[in-house]
Amino acid sequence: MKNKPQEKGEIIGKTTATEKFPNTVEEFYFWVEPGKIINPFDFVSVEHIRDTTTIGLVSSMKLITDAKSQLADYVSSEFGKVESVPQTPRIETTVAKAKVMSNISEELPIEVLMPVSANKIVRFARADDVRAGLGLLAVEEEKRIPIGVIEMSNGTQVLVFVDSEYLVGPQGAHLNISGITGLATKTSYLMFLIQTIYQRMKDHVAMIIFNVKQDDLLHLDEEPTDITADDEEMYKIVGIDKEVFPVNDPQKGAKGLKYFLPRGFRGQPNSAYISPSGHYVYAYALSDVHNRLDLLFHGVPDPYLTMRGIIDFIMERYGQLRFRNDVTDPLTGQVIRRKGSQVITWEDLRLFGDYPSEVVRYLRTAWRFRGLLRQFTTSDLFVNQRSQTEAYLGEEIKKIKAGEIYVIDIAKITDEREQAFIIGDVMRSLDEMYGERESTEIPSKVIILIDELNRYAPRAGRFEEISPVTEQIREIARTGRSRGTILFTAEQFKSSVDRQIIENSAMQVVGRTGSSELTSDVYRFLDPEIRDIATRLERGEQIISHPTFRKAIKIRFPKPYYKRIG
Amino acid sequence: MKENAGLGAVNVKDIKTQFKTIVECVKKHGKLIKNPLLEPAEEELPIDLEKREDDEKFRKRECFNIEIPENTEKPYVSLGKPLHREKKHIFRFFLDGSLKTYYLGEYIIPAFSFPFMAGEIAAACLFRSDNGSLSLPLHGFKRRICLLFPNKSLLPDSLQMELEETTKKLESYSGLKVETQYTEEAESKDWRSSLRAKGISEMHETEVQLARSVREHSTEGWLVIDGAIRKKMFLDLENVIGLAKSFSRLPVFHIEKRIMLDIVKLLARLGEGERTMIFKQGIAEGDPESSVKKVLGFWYLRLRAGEWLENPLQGVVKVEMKIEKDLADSQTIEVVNEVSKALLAERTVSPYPTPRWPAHIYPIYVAENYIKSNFLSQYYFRGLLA
Repeated sequence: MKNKPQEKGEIIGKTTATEKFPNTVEEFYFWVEPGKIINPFDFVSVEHIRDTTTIGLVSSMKLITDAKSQLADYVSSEFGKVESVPQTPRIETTVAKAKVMSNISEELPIEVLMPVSANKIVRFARADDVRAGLGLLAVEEEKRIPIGVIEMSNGTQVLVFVDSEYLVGPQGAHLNISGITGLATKTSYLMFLIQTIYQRMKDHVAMIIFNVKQDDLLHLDEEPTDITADDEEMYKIVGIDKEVFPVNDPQKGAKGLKYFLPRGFRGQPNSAYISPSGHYVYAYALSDVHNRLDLLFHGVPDPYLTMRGIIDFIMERYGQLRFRNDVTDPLTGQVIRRKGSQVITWEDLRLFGDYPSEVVRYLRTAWRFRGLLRQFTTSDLFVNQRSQTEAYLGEEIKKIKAGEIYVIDIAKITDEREQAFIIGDVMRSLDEMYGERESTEIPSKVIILIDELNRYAPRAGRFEEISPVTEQIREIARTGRSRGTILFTAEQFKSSVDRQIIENSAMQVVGRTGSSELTSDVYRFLDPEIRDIATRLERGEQIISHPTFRKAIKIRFPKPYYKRIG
Repeated sequence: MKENAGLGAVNVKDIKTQFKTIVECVKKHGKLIKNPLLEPAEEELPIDLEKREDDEKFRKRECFNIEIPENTEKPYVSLGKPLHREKKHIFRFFLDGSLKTYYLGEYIIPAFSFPFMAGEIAAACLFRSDNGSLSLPLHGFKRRICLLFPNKSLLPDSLQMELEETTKKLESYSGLKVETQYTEEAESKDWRSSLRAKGISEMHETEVQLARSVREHSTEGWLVIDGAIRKKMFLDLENVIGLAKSFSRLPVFHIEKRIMLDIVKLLARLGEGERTMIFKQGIAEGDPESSVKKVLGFWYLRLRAGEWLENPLQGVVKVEMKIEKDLADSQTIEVVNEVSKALLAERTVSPYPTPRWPAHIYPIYVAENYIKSNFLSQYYFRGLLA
């Protein structure tokens, strides 16, 4: 505020405080000058004591008249004559409620937390006022991450950014976005942020993106075809370069995108789209994931922990497990596993039943385990031996470098258990990476984008057990902030997602949401009036709550710069 | 037990029967209009100052029609459709005054003591533009603050002189000046009421000053003053009516000097959208207000009717207007009809459910509210002697 321009914003009304509706430290009221148009989420400014200026955010408006009741209007229309024209129209005014965002001052070292006086001129806030009100001017230039543009009713556009320390750690981390499907804004907004962060922090950040819908995120290196003039304008405001994500090319020393596609029939990728820029196929051998079997069996009812006993036994003893007797094919009678041979592959494990009695008391428990294992690992993703061209994702994750973007396609995997297993494995591998690699080699930030989070980390009922996959994502939400593992998650309904993951997300974003969903207490961070507005947000609009902002704000953002399909 | 049954107990059924018998008897000889609403006991009702002032005016009760009725049995004129501003915008200015007096303490002088009172007087005149919206024109608001004293002759000479000097000194203030006002009367049984009456008189004075000042700047349309016209100075202004929503029950009307009607009888048969003949009040010898009464014509107009009205006088306004002639000519009658029709249009919108709303018009109600919202806080006055 050092270089505060003398020009003031356009006058729109005057503050008012009454016995029933007093101004408080948190909010103030003002009547709107006739003919002026304002909207919720507009920023306004009011002069306050000692040359300070209070910046407010319009949260709601109401039109009042001096009619004491509806009956007064009925009587005024000649006792119900619809055609009657008032000789003197009733006095009416629009009264707006504004939430106090900040009280800014050039001189005072402390913030003045006193209610705004009545009868003070209210103006549209200028761009500088808005940024000052949001506390943005104190954010150092190199730490600024644009998160969108505030658009006010008077046409003012204000770039909003946050301090990177409050988005990707260590002060605050993780982002969660929710909203109804069909407006294509959740993924777009996450990708807009990913692109912004990548362009600004490329040398320090790595990205892991899960593609869960068709070929949505498999064209990140291709030129978009749907960019509008409005987007172009916003790119300029936000400061995004019109560049698609670069492709990883070790020969040229270029870091960037790596597409990981799931293994399908006969080793072909099971994907809706295969990028001409190259890809990797990933698959799972038992030797890769023997210590992650708990992730595969998540959600299996196991009240007496008998399954858990078997899984723990395999995870501990893998490599030492041997058949005690020959195993024969029940149809042909042929010996298919010799006594003493080692359990190495999925098929070995499906046939293995020689568990010690302290692990398996009843034979039928082992049969149940083998049946479920067969059921869970029938897809082409699980192989007895990976070929040289097939990668294990866990290994790749542990090798991730700054500047690399892993896009892991799980869209065509129809079994949600398998999808959750893949995500859980990636999370656990990331955890392990921090213990195994030299800290200097690890990217200082790893951002993980998970869409449809409700599938992989659903909110558990009061007596329901938390799945290992949920636990794994929770763990990152809890501890990732300090070490730089950041979650960007999305779902339709926050209420259907594990509460701890939501609560640990510093930045909460809400797109258009149904009114019944908004009654859930996870949306309590939004004021009731703002919740009402959330039911009618338009495409490209988001409500953002961030720890550095006193109240939620509404922003618009441009489409991220890559090719979209459909 | 049987002997004591009647002691202290009231047989309500019995009373009702007796009451009914008397009412039936009464009904045979006249029309009884029931009050549909439960009103507080008379003692609990607020004092109607407007009515009280009108009562003062009608010490001589006789009034005479100055318009010849077609039918002396029905001295009314049916006005037809209301005249909406979109057809002809007659009323442009609406004036109201208000007073707040505060009893601040007792003042004791060697030979005398009296209540020490202050009053805040305010008057507002609103302008209605073509689209019907109200606004405050330039010079449309006037405020005075007065200290109210008994007649000067009752005050010690030294105090009188000092008050005069002080008042002169105050004149140098550029903003609002505190005035000292003295009652005309030198005797009173109740000085608190008398001082308040002085305040009211000053309020009317302020209304006149404001009306003049507004009309000096614009002579457009007509000016409606809330309440009766009490000051002669109002009559110097053109196109002004006084509109009283509350009035005296004292007048007696002589129609063509043949039929005599009291006000309830006159107004009970007045239908919605009708007005009475135009009347003038008889003047008693030595009446100090004779000059006003001589040129002041008035009539009653029913804005609203219906079974929900509490009494026949409700929903009726008394309209006062300068009419110099002793017999209204056709031109005057035309103006009276037009003004009355325009008043009928003022029924929308209504200030329902404020007190006396059936006879209240909205622009005056807004002017009242404007004044109220501009009054200084009572705590401010209470603190003046702190």
